[in-house]
Amino acid sequence: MSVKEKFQKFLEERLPVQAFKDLSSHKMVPEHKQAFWYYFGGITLFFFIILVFTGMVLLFQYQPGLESSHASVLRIVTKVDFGWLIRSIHSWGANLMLAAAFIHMFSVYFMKAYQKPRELTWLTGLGLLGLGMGLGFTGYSLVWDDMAFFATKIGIDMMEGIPGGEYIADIIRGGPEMGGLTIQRMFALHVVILPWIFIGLLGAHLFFLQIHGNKIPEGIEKSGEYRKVPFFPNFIFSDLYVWLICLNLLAVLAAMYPWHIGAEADPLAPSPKGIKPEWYFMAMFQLLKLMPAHVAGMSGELFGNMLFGAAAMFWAAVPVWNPAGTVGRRAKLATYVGLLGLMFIIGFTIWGYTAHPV
Amino acid sequence: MTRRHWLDWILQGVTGLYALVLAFPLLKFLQSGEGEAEEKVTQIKIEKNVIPDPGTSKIFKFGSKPGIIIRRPDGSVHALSATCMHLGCTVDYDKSEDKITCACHGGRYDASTGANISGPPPAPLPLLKLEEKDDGFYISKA
Repeated sequence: MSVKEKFQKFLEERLPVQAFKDLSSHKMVPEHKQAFWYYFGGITLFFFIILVFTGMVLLFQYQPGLESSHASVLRIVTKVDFGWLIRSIHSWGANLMLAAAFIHMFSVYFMKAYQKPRELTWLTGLGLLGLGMGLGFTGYSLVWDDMAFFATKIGIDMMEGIPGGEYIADIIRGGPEMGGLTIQRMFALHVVILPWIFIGLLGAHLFFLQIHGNKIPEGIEKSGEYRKVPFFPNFIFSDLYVWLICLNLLAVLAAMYPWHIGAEADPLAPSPKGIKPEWYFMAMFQLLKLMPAHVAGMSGELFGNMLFGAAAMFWAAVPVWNPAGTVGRRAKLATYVGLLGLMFIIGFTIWGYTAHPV
Repeated sequence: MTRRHWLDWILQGVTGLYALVLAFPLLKFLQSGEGEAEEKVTQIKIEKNVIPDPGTSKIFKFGSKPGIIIRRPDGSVHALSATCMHLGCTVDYDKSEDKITCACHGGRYDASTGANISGPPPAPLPLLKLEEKDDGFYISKA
């Protein structure tokens, strides 16, 4: 008996290996002309794994603190061997993860994969997207360069526009002004608190997916133009193949376009010209900029935040107002709402960039 | 060997190379540290009033590591590395014994030569070169 066989026997005697093997051999994944979109969930997961990994590695060199945050990032990208590459992979990976997550969300939306019985998968997915954006926001601040400083300041100040938001803003800032405690708290959120919640929610999301399997779009299911392929090894290998492409894309982007670092934040300096949030906050930023000082007896900022909050809740509640079995005009309505949402995000993002030249 | 074996072998080789390509920058990244500048310190100066009387001593920073300067009861002055040769604790001068001692595991050294006298230290403490001038003690690597 070889070492490998001995090890297999050791495991089989202690764990339900055969049950897992049966489970994976019976798990089937639908394959059809729109199956391409299924990959984006996996791509998001892949970038998340990259982020966890590069994040842990960066922790060996990054030093949070008012004096040390910017200096240590500068040290990482100029002095530490391959530091520029690993930091660049982390930043690029974060942006690609959010891009993949947005594509995943819209593809799930248009396939109506949020309908019964998959409502919980939809909601945990939205929670993951929100947490991903929170991780992006907190991570961005940790560089503590001029852009990051003001972007963080604006982000936290925006919370003050929400009723009760000033308490949360004070907690996150560690006082009325941004300082060393702000970095410490952003750091705690970025490397411990948000990732733990993220991983819990991710576990639930994948568990629900495991129970319900991938949704086949209604039209395709009715026409019968699909077949089922085994998850293992067929789907997992094409998944790994896509991951390899993503890894290479990430490596090329990170190496050819190393992520920018600005001058150290100076709270007394005027905000840098052309300041803008990260692209995934741009649509919201642009909407808030359009708000007049006062709308309907409340501050424009509060109105804008409420508008955005209401839209997000409406979006999350789509399984309620467009349940399974809806047909005709009502079913189409959901698609139109989705297109409107997509156009709003793309349009306002482009508008935000053109109104704010880099 | 069949063609299938060859293909397996090549695939494993390529995967292995890919892993090495990923591992190399990672290991170099983790290995990068600070403190190289401090290692390059060659000489420091210590004021004379730091050890004014016989039987006094002072631990000082030599580059990134501690050193110790001692004025023995007979008036002679010596400078040595203060890192214990056993497990790297910082030693101290024991005035009552006129010996250098380590509190961690009881190692003892001669206060002039650094010779290990008793306890676990396997080697003597390295001596530092000491030059006494009018304006202070100049200490450099021996």
